[in-house]
Amino acid sequence: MSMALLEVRNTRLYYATTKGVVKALDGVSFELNEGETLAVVGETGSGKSTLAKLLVRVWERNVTLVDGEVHLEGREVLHMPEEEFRREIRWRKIAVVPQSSMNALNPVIKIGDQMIEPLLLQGTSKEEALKMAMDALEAVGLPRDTVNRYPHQLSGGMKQRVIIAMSIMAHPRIVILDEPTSALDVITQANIMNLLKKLKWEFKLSYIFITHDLALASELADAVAIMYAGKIVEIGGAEDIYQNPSHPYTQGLVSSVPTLRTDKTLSFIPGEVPSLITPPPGCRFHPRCPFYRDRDYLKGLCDAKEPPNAEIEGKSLRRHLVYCWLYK
Amino acid sequence: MPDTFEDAPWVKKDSLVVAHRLRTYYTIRPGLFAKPRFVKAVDDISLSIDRGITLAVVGESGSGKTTLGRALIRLLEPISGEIYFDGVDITHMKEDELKKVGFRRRIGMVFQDPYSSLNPFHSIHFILEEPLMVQGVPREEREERVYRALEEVKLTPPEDFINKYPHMLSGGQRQRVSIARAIITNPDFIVADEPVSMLDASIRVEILTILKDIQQKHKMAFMYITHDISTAKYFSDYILIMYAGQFAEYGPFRDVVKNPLHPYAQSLIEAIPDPDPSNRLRERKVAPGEPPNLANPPPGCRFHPRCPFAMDICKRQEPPVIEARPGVYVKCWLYKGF
Amino acid sequence: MARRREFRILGMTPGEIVKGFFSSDVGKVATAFFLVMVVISIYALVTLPPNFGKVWNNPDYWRLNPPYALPSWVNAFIGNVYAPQVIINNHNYVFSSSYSGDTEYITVYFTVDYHYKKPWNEIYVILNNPVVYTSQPPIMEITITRPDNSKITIGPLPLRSKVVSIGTTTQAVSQLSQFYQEYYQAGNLITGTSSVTPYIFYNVTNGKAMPLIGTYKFQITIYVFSSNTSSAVTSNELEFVFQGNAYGLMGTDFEGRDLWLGLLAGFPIDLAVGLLSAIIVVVISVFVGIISAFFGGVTDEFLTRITDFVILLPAFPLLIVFSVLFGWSIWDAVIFLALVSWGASARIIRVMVMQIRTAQYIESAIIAGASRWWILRNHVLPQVIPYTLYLLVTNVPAAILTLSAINFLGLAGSELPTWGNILYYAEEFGALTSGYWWWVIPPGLLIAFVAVVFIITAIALEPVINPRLRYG
Repeated sequence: MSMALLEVRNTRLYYATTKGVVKALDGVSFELNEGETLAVVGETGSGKSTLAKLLVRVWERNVTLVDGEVHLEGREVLHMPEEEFRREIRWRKIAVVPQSSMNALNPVIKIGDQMIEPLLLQGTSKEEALKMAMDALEAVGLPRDTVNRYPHQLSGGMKQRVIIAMSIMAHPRIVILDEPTSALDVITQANIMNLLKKLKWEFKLSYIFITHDLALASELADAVAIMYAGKIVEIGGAEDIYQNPSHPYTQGLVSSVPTLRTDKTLSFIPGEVPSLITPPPGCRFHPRCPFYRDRDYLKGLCDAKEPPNAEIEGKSLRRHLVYCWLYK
Repeated sequence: MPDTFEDAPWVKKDSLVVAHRLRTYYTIRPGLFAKPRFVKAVDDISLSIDRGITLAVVGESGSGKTTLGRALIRLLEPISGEIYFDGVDITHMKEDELKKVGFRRRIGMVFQDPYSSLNPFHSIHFILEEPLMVQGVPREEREERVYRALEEVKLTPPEDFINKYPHMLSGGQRQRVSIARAIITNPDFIVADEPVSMLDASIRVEILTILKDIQQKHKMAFMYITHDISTAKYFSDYILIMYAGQFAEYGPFRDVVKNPLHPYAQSLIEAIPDPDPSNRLRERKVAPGEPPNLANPPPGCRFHPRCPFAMDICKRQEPPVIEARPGVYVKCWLYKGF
Repeated sequence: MARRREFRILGMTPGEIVKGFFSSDVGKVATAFFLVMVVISIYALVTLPPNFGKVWNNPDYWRLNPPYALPSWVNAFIGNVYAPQVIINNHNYVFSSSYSGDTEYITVYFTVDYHYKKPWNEIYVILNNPVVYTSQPPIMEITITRPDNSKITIGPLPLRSKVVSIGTTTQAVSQLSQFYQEYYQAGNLITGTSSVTPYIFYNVTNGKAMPLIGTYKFQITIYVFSSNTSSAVTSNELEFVFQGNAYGLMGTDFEGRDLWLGLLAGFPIDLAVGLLSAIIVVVISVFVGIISAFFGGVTDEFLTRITDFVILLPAFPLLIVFSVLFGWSIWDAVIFLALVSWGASARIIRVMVMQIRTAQYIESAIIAGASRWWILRNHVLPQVIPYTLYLLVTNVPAAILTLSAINFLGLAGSELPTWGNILYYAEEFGALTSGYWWWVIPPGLLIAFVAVVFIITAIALEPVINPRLRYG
């Protein structure tokens, strides 16, 4: 079995606020294989955006703990010196398309100049850099002369394409997409998803696709990781997760997503997302879990000890893991 | 056979809420001395909503759906067309007249953003009381109604919530307060503008359930504005699809969604993914491009630059509204011969 | 079921507001300093006479004080160099009076300790009985027994006015000359160009005058003529003042005015002046800001243009010009300053109201049928009114600084001792070059201190006013 492209082991990220220490990521582990797209699905407070920040090592100043290991192509990158990471990994091997990034384009600088800036900083000549930029724009379906235009002359969808072009310009191995279509209309969203699919096939990219939208995730995902309150609660191949959701939270999530083409009864998960400062003991989902409520034998277990992972038989090649006491 | 308009046969004149050929414009001045341009946010829309019926108004940004909602509850005054509420023409009434006919009491609105639709400096109690105080309801009755409204949106026990302030509640709870405020005057018509799009997926169903229960219990007319048709499916009877301020398609919800006729509607529905892992293996066939700038819309049919079926006439002339199937109306040249 | 609702402003109970203010370190410091300022101001108002302005500007009142005198506590640091002001009155001396015919015969006896390097400049005799001067002036004789048991006699001196200085009289000059000639063969040391009183306290060693440390006994005899018992001089009408080189807590200025009193008076005055100006600014800006933002349209355009104009006005130069042209008092300057400074605050209020006006919760209120006035009263004012306190606090330091600057230039009201005024005179009389640090540094420091206290208070108020900053 070949080594995974990206191995994340037991990562933790805590940051300090006036109300206490927020355990945004608390022991997250997963693997990403080459050419695979992993969707990380979670709601607000699940820690999915923090995961993106962890992988590119860009986080706020009030972070108090960064722990765990991240191996990229066999190399440990989480604890590498910052200079080395900046030079070799960030944007070169791992690129990020952050949330609402189309709003991050500088309105008074030409698109082309903004795109080539990181390349110039690393010593590439202006000619070479512009060529790379124009190639990237072409790959995302924009005309090459977009390099001479200003952001306000482009529509929202076009700006997002520019951002995607910027992220693939250096031919990274992994592109992290953090809610890339959240501010876009539905049809534009579909067009962007089509583009991402095309790029994936054309450039053999591996995506980490972060979203709260389980349906949208299925547009790209070969594998899905479900996050809740700073932890992964279920992870597996797309077919397994969608057709056999096993963790009670995943099941709740799946049944709360309305479907357009099929009819189903919707249900919701009562309660609120827990505080990450004082998370519930044991399994973090237990206060809202219908199984915990109904089955007495789980009392004393789910509320006391964190569940280890259990493997479930599945259709896809990837292992289907659930972190739940029901399966032990 | 209820009375309908000749030029808008899908509109039932005796419905609670009726809009006929409604247009709203707003002017923008690119500069101090430039000629003012008119943005046609709502351009010739007709509809009717009966008691106990939900009309979903669907469109993307710039479609005019939010402006339409605001126009129907007279937050703004339309340029042309008519709005009838319970038979009364309220199109150009002034505030004091509206108050006299009790219009304000009989309508409610739920906003999209749970964070800015509640005044952070007011207690929940005051937020809910305000509409009643404005209507002149005596204090005893107000107290009772506040409690009942909180119970209807399942914020129980009410005592726990009335003295709280918005920042102490979660997004879902705030949205429920918004709903409680909208229903506290016992309205007959509610406009909900993207009420769940800023909430987490697992909470949306709860809110939608509450809205549905309220509607059925009080037999309210409902206008549900959204860009997310999947949630609209949950409790809509009819659907109106808008594009660039104009009518695109209208009909019973399931009918239209199952077999959309307008090319835009087809793209819109095709663009929406269901949770299905095989999605990643295929490309979605949707129209390219984006909605036009409303200050300078394309001539003829506004969708023609993106439409895969565009014909010559589409570029020159605006299409008429045609009943392509019984009960389903499309504004598109493709269906001319029906 | 009625429920008692807590009283809240800005979504917080008064208890929470106070707690929020004090929880920050800045709040604690600000409160401490603010209290200090307030306490001192109250003290000043209570201890100083209400017509202090007139007193301050009346030179007679300060005549007996040494001008340009250091604070007397300087001695504690540099040793006993400067003789402090000493007043000998009926508490310190032994008084006896008897009659012989219609002549009153008074003897006074007291001792004075001298252990300084620089002796007193002058000795003043104050005889406060109006009757005695009507016919023939009283005659005084002074006998001083020095620590080395030498005796100096000065007199007879006629007392022609209420206050008589001894050292400049011809008798004193010649008699001291003689004394020095006899004892030290150095009569030429005494020149007579200024008061000779210091020489009472010197002896001569090796041709140089040196201080003679020790106890000096003063015996003074006064003959009062044509007096009768009803208008006899009593002990509380007779006083002797030894004018020193150091005076009081804060020294003196060019007229001998006690700077401690002057600076103290400055507290309530500068505060009042700053507050008044700030209050006018806030009232105008709130009015203009609310009306402009709330009614919009032409009103808004019009008021915004006026606001812009006011912002552009150069407050300080105009203040100078008009103060000179019209000879303004400090109160005129206060009002004018307020009238040209309200622009920036009005803009802030306007933006605030506009943000509120376009918020979605206002739309909800309109949908419910709320009138404009309802929205103004229940949504706008509750947010704006607490903010005005903050606005007030931020406007005060600017007002105080500008008005002090105006005073420093000698404009707008020298009738009240503001700190700016004190600095004006210090500058006029070359205090800095002459090294009179006690005249220059304290007023400057106090102006800065008061300004800083208000600024810190504003900083501490911010989290209370702005909820977004609260849990940061």
